[in-house]
Amino acid sequence: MDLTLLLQRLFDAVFNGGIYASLALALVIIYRATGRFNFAQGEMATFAAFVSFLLLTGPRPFLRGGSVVGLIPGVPWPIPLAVLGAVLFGIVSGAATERILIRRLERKPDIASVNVTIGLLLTLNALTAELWGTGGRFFPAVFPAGPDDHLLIGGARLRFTSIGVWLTLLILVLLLVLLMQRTKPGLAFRAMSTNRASAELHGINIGRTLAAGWALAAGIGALAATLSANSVLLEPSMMLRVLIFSLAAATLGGLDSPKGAVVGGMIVALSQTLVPAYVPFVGNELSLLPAVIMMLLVLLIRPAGLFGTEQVERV
Amino acid sequence: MTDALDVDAPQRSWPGQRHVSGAVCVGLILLSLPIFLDSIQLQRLAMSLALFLAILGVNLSTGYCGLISLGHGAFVGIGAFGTAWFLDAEHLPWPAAIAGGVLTAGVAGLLIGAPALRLRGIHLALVTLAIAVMFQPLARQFPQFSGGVSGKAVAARIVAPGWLGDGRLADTMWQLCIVIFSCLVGLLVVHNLVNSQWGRSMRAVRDDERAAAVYGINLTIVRTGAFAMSAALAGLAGAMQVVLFPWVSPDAYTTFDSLTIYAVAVIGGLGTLRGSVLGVAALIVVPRFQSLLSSSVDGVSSPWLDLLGSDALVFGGALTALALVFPGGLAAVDTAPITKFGRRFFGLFFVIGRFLKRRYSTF
Repeated sequence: MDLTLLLQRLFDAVFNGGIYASLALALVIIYRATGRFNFAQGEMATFAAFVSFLLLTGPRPFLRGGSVVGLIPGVPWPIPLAVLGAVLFGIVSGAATERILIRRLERKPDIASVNVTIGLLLTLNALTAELWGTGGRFFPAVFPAGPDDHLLIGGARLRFTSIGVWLTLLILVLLLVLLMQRTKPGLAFRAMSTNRASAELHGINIGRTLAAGWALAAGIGALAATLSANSVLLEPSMMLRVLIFSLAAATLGGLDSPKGAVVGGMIVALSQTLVPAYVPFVGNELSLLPAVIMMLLVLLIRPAGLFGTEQVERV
Repeated sequence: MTDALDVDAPQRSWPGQRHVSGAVCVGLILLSLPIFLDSIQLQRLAMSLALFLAILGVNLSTGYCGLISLGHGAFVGIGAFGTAWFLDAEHLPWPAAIAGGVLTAGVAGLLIGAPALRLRGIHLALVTLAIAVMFQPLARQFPQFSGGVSGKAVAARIVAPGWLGDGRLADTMWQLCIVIFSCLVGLLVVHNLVNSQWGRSMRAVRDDERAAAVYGINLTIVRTGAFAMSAALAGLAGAMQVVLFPWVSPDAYTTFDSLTIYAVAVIGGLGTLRGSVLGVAALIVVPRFQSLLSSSVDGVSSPWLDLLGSDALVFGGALTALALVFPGGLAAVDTAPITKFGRRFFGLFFVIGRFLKRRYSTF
C-alpha cells in the first residue's frame, strides 16, 4: 500500500470531516432540544450561503424582475464580512423558523415535524432555484486555497482550507462548550433538554430557549455552507448530500452528543474517501453508501451511537 | 388518526355501490379526454395519473401503518427498471413484464424493510431519506437495468390491439386504458386490504404498537408486509411509466421526486383512500393551473408570480402549511360549511319548486 497516497487521502478527508461535523453539530443541538431532526437544516444553510453570495457579488439583477441589492449598503462586501452576514442571516432565520413553524408542533406526533421540515426542505430548495437558478456558481474560498497554499507532510499535502475549517470547528466547539457550561442560557438549554417539564417549573422560558437553540443551529449550518461552497459549486441542492453525511455522522456519534458529532463527522468523511479508494464497486458516485450503511447499522445495533445516552423507555 | 379498534369500519370486503360508480365515472371521464387533448398532453396526464399508485403506496405504509417512507421514488424506479428488463431482456409479454416489475419492487421493499423497519418514527424517516438520496447514484452503477448515466430506450412498445385501430392516438389511448385499469385495481386491492383483518392490524400497529402486540399481532410481519405491499404499488407506478413512455433512466428518480410523492400523499391526506385521490388530483391540477396563470397574466411580469410556477415550491409550501393547519390533509378539510351553504342555496330552489308545484298543481 502506498503510504503517501494513504496519507493524502486522510488529509483529503479532513476538510469534508470538518464540514460534516459542523452540520452534524447543528443537527445534534436541535435533536437534544426537541428529540427531532431538522431535515431542512441543509437547505436553510444553502439559502444563507446564497445570501452571502448576494453580499459578495454586489448589485446584480436579483429576482428576474428588479433588484433589491441596492438596498444593502456598501455591497460588495469583503468575504469575512459576507460570511458573517450569512451567519447572522442564519441566526435570525433559524429563530424565526422556530417561532413561526416549529413551536406549533410541540404537542403533535413526530410525523408532523417530519412533514414540516421536509416541506421546508422542498420549499427552500425551490425558492433558491427560483431566485438564483439551478446552475452551479463560483464562491470564493474563505481560507487561502491557491495551488501552493498547503503544508507538505510526508509527501502529502495538507491544504490550508482544511486546517482553517478545523480551526473554525475547534473554536466553534470551544465556544459551544463555554456557552453550555458557563453561561445562564446554556444552563437553561441543558435543563430544558434534560427535563422540559421541570425546567419550565423552574421558570425557564422554554420558547425563548428553543428559539435560541434553533438560531444557534442555523448559524452553525450557515457557517458550514459558506465554508464548503468553494469546493462544491454553490447550487440549490449542494447541501443535500452533505445533510445525509451529517445525519450519518450525528447518528454514529450519538444523536445527543456534540462530541459524538465531531468524531462521527471525521469517521464519515474518512469512510467517504477511503472506501471508494479500496473497494472498486463503490465508486466516487457511491461514496454515500458506506456512510448510510454505518448509519443503519448503528441505529439497529446501538441506537445511542458512540457517545450518546441510552434511551430508556418507561412503560 | 382514527382510534385503533374502530368497530364502525366497514366490514364488507367489496367497495360500496357509491364508490364503484364514482370510480367508474372518473374512469369514463378520463377515457373521454382524447376528445379534448392531443396524444402528447394525454401522455403527460397519464404519467401523472400513474403516480397515483405510488401515492397509494405511501398512504398504505405511512398513513395506515405509520411507517414514514420518504424514499418511495426508489421503488417506482425499481418497478420501472424491472419491467423494462423483463420486456427487453427476457422478452416477456407486457402483462407478465408488468407483474415481474411489480414483484421486483415488492421483493426490494421486503429486503430493505426487513432491517429498516426495526426502526421507529423519526429514525425510519432518516433511513428512508437516505434511500431517496442514494437511489439515483446506486441505479447508475447498474447500467444493464437502468441505462446508466444516459438512460436507455425500451425496444418493446405496447401498441393498441387491432380493433382499436392504429396510429399514435390509438396507442396512447390503449396505454391510458392500461393505466386507468391498473389504478382501479390498485385502489380495489388497497380498499380490500385496509378493510380486512390485515388493515385493522396495520392501524392497530400505527396507533399503539404495544397494545397491538398484546392483542397477538405479529408486529414484524404486519410492518414488513405493509411496506412490501406499498413498495409493490410504487413499482406498479413505475411499470406504468414504462408502458406510457418506453424509456428508463436513473435521472427520473431523484431525491426530489421521492419527496414530491411523499408531499403529495400527505397533502391529499393520509389514512383515507379519498386522500390519495385528492393527492393525485393536486399533482395533476397544480401544473395546469400554473400554465394557465402564466398565460393569462402575460402582460404583467411579477417576480413573485413566477414563484408560483415551481411545483416543488407549491407542494413544499402546502406540505408545511397543511401539516400545521389540517394535519389530516385535504381529505380532512371540513367540507360541512360548503355543504351547508349548498343545501341552503339549493334548498331555496326546492322551496320555490314546492311552492310552484302546489300553486299550479291541478290535483
